[in-house]
Amino acid sequence: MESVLQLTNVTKSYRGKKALDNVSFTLSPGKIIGLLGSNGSGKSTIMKLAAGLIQPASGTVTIGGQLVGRETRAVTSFMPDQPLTESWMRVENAIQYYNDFFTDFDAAKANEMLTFMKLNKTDRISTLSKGMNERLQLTLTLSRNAKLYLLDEPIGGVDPVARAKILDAIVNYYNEESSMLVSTHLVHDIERIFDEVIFIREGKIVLQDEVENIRITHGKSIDEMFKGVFGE
Amino acid sequence: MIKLLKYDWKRNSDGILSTLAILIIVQVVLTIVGLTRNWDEIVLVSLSAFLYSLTGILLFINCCRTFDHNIKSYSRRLLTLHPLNGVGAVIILSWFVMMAVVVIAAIHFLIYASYSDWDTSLLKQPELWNIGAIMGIVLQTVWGYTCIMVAILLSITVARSFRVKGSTWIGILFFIILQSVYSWLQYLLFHNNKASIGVISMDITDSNDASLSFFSNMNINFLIGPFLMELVFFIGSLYLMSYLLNKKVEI
Repeated sequence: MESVLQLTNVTKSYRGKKALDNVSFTLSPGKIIGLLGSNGSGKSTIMKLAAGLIQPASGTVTIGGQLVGRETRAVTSFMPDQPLTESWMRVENAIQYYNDFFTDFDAAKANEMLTFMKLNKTDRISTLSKGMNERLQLTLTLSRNAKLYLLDEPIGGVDPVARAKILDAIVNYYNEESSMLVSTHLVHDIERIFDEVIFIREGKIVLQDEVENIRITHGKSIDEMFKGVFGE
Repeated sequence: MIKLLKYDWKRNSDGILSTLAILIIVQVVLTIVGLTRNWDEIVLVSLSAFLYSLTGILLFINCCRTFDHNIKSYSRRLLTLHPLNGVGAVIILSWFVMMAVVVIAAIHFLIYASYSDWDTSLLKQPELWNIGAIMGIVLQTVWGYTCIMVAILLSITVARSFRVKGSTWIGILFFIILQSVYSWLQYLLFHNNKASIGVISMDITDSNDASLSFFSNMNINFLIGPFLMELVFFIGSLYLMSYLLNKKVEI
């Protein structure tokens, strides 16, 4: 089966400091994969590489066998840790923006998600709380019929109620034919949705396995495993 | 490109329209106060021209900042459009704002001229309103303006290609070097010591009194070479911008 996302010997540095060091992994289609690591471990760098926003210093990143670039953005839907919208917009402007620029945007799904997320179309984005803003960003991201979804810290900095809502939305609106890579360090809250996890530490992959395998082999939950690997 | 322009306009419209509204109000107040208090006409016109120039520069800077904002924005960088669409949208936006300032200035001039005791007979001479010559001036002004805009947008792109503190200075240095190389090559290839602004040129003489003389030349053959060189720089700048936006400008 063709991999959705493949990183091969990828290295990336910022001002001489290695963010990723010879990273290689492959994502299969139809799975939700957790990219888990502490702050500064290289999660966001992997996300940006896959989204085509940055280039590797060495190695290759492919999506569906194609080198990442403008073309692969058409099949990749990325929710970064910063807003995808602009402060002057209302919710309806943001929906219209995605509808204008992404041919795979499903307006009906977006409207359904807005209702689920309890978002009002006429609300100004600048007045939304952090949690409501995250809900909107997720609505925009999941309303595209993409091959690969990339969610960078989707529950970072939001209250438990918003967290639960966001996770429910991911489960309800995730297209099972596609793949989803979710980066987070808040493992306990989110581990229930993962099929597979990748642990990254100081720019290196330390573990990639199916969630069930980890539970059976190690007899631990992902959260416990995470604390075991990253605990100081 | 037009869709991008639509969103650039929506983001900037409040700022642009309010700036133009303030310009009109200040010009009206200035004209009324100047006329009622019998200010020297030269002072009044100079002040008015200064305000138009200042507004033009502010709006031009606003367009450059829009481009700078866009190349650092997730909402723009994740689009599947070719990056030159974003460049084109900002250039068109800058044309619109400049056109708005010019139109306001032209209307102001016509109103002022009709109420003042200026001798406008010179403007009514038919030979002055040669359509070809006017079109030439307009096209050359738009072309020159667009070239400057592209050079500045390229410099911003170069600056944003570096992830270091003070990258803005790299952009400024790049702009100065680019303009210097361009001028040097133009002199080398065409021995052109005239600072040309279209069919009206400024001749800098080498005499001791350092005088300047302005002249008009409707024969544009002497502009073909420099124009081709500008075209090469223009296309090269767009190509470099496209490369940098695809490969080097990271967010």
